[in-house]
Amino acid sequence: MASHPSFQAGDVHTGFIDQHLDSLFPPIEVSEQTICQAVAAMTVNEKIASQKLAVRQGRASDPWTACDGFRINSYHEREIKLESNVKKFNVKLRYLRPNYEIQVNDGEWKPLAVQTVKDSQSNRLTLKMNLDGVQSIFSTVITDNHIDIFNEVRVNFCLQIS
Amino acid sequence: MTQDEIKKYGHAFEARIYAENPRNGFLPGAGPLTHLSTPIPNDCVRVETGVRQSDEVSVHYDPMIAKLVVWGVSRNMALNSLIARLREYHVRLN
Repeated sequence: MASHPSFQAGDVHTGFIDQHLDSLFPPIEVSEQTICQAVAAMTVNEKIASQKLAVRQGRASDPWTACDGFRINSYHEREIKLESNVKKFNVKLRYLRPNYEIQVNDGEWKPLAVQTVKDSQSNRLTLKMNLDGVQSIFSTVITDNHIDIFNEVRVNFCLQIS
Repeated sequence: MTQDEIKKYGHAFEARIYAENPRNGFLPGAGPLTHLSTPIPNDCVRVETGVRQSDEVSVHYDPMIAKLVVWGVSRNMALNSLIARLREYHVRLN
């Protein structure tokens, strides 16, 4: 709302939301980049969870506890199913360690890299992603099988891992 | 102090943060705040709230959970700050 041209121009009144409802809340379009951000967030979250578990079990230096897709003489590939606003997305992820390749809905395979951004003053998880040369920074919250991506708008994904 | 002695300086905006879904007729939400991260307060940013992460938003009260107040030397600066700080206000209910 604060980004709306009429609000910025100071043309504000009590019927503002009703008048501009369609332009204030357009349908959320889920881009390929946002889908990849959700998958990138999932991989980081899995690594963090596996590291915490390894520390609790006293196996922090054990390479077999690392959730990094390590395979001998091959690359680990997995299929991830996501749903957002009743739209379903099929994603394939190839672990090249430390980076990835990703394919959304049988499209082109693209290189993917992700790293966490240090933010000691906040409890949010902020990530920097490089998808086929395009950089983006976003915050994410993961609870159970839900992934929220906070960009210009918030997009919620429901995750099914096969 | 009288009203005349209060000098106007800069601009401020206040945004009210509601647990409502604008894409569903602004229906109020209820349940636990499973995630809550707010902008970092400073001399120009104030977060007025009584809830913390894992607190419950009740159906029995107004679903407003916070007020975000920003200040800037000019209206444009305050507005840009409001937009940036709102993007840092992350709430997940349930």
